[in-house]
Amino acid sequence: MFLHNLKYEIKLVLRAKSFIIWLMLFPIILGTLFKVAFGSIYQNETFDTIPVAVVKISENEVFDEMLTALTTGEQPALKAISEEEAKAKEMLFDGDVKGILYVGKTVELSVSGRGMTQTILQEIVGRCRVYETVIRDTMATDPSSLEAVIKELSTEVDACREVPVTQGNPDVYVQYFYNLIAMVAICGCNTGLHVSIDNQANQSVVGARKNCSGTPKSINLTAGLIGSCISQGVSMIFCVTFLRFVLQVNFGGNLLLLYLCSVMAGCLGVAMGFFIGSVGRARFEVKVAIAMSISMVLCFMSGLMMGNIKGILAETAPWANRINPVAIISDSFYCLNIYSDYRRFLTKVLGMGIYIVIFTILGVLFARRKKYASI
Amino acid sequence: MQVFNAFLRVLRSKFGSAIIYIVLFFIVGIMMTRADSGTSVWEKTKMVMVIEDLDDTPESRKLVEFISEGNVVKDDFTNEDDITDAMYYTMLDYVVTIPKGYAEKLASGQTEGIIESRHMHESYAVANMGMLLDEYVSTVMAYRQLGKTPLEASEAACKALEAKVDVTIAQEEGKTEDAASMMLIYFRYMPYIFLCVIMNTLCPALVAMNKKDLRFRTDCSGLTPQSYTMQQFAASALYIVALWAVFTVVGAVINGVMFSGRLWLAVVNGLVFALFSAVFALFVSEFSPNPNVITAITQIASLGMCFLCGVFVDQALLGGGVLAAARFLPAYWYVRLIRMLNGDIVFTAGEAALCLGIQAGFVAVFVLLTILVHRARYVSAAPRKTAAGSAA
Repeated sequence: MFLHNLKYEIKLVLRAKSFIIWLMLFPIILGTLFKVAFGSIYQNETFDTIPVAVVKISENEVFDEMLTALTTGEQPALKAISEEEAKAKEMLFDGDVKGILYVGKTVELSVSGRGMTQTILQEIVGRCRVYETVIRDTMATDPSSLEAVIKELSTEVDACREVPVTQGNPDVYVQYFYNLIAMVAICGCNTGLHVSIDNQANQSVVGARKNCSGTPKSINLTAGLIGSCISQGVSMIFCVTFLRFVLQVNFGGNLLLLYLCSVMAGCLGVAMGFFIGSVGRARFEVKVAIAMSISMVLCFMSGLMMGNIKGILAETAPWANRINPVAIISDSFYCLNIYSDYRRFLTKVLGMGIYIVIFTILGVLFARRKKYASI
Repeated sequence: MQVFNAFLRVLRSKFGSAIIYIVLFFIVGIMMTRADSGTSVWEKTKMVMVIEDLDDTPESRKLVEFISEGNVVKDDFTNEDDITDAMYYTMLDYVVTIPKGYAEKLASGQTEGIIESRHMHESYAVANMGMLLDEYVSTVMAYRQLGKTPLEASEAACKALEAKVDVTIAQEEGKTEDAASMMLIYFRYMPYIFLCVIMNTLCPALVAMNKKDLRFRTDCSGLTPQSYTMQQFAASALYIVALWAVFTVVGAVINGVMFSGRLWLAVVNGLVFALFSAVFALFVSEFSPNPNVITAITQIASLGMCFLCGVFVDQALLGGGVLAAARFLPAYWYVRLIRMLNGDIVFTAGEAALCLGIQAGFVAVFVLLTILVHRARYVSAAPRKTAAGSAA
């Protein structure tokens, strides 16, 4: 009887239009949109030459030398365009340049906004002042050392040695794809919700028939849950395959573990839906609203809409990241990517396992021994 | 008014699930505003750093002092994993380690790799910090040429590097006050909130109104299709305006802002987008989708449009191709107007009117599409009525 029920449960889920839409089309459409939106952002954010307009008021040899150094080389820091003030302002407002350098005895900076690019321009202009200060100090204390000091200042120094942080993919935008997989997984709560609803006589016709039949509820529920987990697992494998091999998203880490982890995440979604569906006697529509709203809030708190929300929560309410099932799912993908050892990854997988067990046990406790005097 | 009344009655019957969406998405909106509010001000362009001084000598402490000046130094990380996590999630920009033997190397004139740094993402800020550290060591070495000890040279370098530059903001009139800025951040996320809430609450009611039984009874009545559609539009508009008013007023109260000046444009902008969300919901409902399909379309439309149009990720970061495609979506023009009001791009009355006009154009297009689909799906199949209302 169990295998019979399991077979029909899988058939039922696979034939449902909503299953195809939610779990197959959803990652395809949203994943493609994400890829289009984020594909070039990480490259855009890397270091790039900053265009500036230079308005000359009087000669400043120190700054001229410095500007030459900053605008030449393989990857120059600045691209200087000499202009009249009016034209320079126009270019600034049009976004063609990031700032205007007014070069006189001192150098002043004018910018149109507030951001890191403007801060860097401020630093660069500040460096010109440093040169002036060092030369002035030298002239005041030991003019004979001027040549040695200038030589020292113009010698290229490589004092800062960069130590790599990870062997994985550091692209912060990959986390949106982690969260997309986590969202697809947690949307499995729709499937789990149906398992619960289809076993409650007051919620659905199928539920009424099942309750009248001789099959024990435990077999119905177990078959329903396992069938949903299998179909959800298939959709998770499809989702990861599409993102990894069609959209070429570099998840980093061990791909086999990524697949296993996403299948487990799908089971977590099913268990959560089963739990929500089993609690209370609210109408199906209300339960769907609760499941979807909770899922979206959890997805938001995991960083689906705002990438840095998880970092903010880590500082303000670290417990939120630890208990949020969607955050646990996306964290497990992150740990696989960033860390070379599996210590943290296993902690996250264990967290998922605990949630699956808790949701299933609570769902069963709420679903069992329900009596219907009148339907 | 029967359709109008019936529609409101159906809406009321679905109020239980609607209120769940409204409350939860309102919480999401507030959380988004709070999370995003600190990132646009000048002070936040300081780098967030961790400094590990393994040398612990007067020279290394001077370097720590220099790096700390003008940056935010954090010392509350308990382990390396927390540091790595914070760097990945952009809460920490840079980690500087001053290795043991730093002072000795400085004294011997050795500069190559005497400081270690870690960062996750390449950026202007990271490149700048690397240059600044090189600059510091270079300046210390220059002062060493004057016969100063490493500590004296470090002190002199710190003093020289303290040089401040006056920066003028060439577009000050476009900048808004902090409270208004907060409200604009709140408004920036409204497209997502409106699309989710309106589609999830309005569509089920509209689908219920389009159900076969109800539709056949309406078709048999003396009501003309035009009257039916207009009453449905009017009831939807009433609901949307109420929803928009609630989100706007409660948002203003929570953010502690009184609407004035250009902020009213943001309010109008919100209304136009709310109307777009409503007509989009009307359009989708014409196909009578089941609840699962409605939720899927809502998520795809809201998340997809918001990511492409710069609601979640700043338009300035999106590529040219993405923005070119986004121009064909109303959320792009909504966000563009918000950016103008926030002073991120130049504000002109003409451009602001264009943003509102294009959104209104989208509303008009979807109204026409809805009428077209309604006629094609339902009216053409129904018996024709004479002007007097009897079936021909």
